Amino acid sequence: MSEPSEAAPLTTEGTGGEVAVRIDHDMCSGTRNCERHYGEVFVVDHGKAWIRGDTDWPHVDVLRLREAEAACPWSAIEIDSSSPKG
Amino acid sequence: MPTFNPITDNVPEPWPLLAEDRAKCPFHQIADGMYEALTYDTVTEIYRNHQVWSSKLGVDVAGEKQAGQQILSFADPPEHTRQRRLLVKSLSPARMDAMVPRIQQVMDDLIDEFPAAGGSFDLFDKVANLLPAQMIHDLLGIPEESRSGLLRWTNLEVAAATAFDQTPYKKDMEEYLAFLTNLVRERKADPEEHDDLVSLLVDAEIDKEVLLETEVVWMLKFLLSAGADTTKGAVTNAVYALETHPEEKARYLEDIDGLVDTFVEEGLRFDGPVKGLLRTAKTDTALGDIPAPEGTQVYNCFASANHDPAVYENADAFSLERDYTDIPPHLSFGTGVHHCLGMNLARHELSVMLATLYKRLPGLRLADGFAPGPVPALMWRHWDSMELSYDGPVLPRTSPVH
Repeated sequence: MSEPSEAAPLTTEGTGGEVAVRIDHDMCSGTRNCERHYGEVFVVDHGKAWIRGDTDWPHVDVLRLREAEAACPWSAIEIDSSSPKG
Repeated sequence: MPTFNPITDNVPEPWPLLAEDRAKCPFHQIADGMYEALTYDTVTEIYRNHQVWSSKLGVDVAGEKQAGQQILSFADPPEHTRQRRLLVKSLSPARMDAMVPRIQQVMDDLIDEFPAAGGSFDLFDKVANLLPAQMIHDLLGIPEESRSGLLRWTNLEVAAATAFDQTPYKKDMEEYLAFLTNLVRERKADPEEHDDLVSLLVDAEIDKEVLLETEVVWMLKFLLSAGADTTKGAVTNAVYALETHPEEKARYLEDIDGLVDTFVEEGLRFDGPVKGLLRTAKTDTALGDIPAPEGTQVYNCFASANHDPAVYENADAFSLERDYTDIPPHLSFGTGVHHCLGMNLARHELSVMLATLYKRLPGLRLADGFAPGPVPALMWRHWDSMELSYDGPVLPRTSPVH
């Protein structure tokens, strides 16, 4: 998948510590619900959500990631973590 | 009380009245136990906070639906989440992108029926009532021979939803439910595999629990009216907005392909088909400083939120110069977990209809002396008719003949 050019590259998959985040662009409809819930991790660019290149993985809040996952009306976000579900 | 009360007032151009009310206060009482929310931020906040602001307890004045009818827009998580997850793949952007050639073909078939020499027509009768219905019938896998009867029932259901007296609709609505129930039973008994939404719902297991038959029937009913009625309002509202803004129309005609996506978004923002929807407080809460005890209803006025000057520059203007990749999304598809399931389909339908109308019908314009009236409805913004004229010759189709 081609990525919009930005200083810090945007991705659809990210892993840090014990958490893995994946955004399915076949499903993502760019509604920005994830960005509103957790703008430090998610950003919408050209109609699709991306994981920010400057995501501070060591300090990522898994509960907020889970909130963003649950808030996605298109079930386009998948969070895989060893932490309990929020 | 606000200057413009959406329950009782119905005017062609509510924008200055809404602006006056919005500037005074983001919330106004509009009925006993009911307030309206007018700003982009307040509507967004209420829509996102489904833990407090319930859909199940009522998104319209009819209040909570009976068991078995609490589906999608009329449900809260976790039931809503399970129901919605069944459908999202079938209506995903990837799946809907693949439908564009079919949408174009249906639109070209409709325009091929227009008199080549030019003439006048009602956009509802010739396009808006037909194309969105055809596409949702395709997705559901409705047999060809049942489609016109089904469309009649769907239109009657929408009319019945705002009618004070239900008696004239009773027999038709019973027949409508019987038809859908029969469709579900036939599909259940059919050993052949069908790749459509009726089969998907019939086969559905929600957490290994099959949907109730009544739930499938009410989901179908919901998809049929939501799929057709809102889009027909959106396309006619957009055409009227363009036709009443000659400078924007001239700009659009110069570059239809380059501007059609902006036209779709600006049409939805400027005058979307859903004027507002209700949410009901599950617990004691507040609207700003106003206490909102359990059971309080809020009318989330999209028509006002989409014109909020705190979010959109020159918000009451219809302008194709806005860059929707760079400004907050309009709320015409809602926001939060109930974000419109049909948004990806609707955007493509609108884009194909709005491009093809202006590409194939030379001199398209409002019919001489025509001015539409707004249909009185708390929740919808629809015109009562949309008389257009065009000159010949109708230009050739771009999609292959089916």
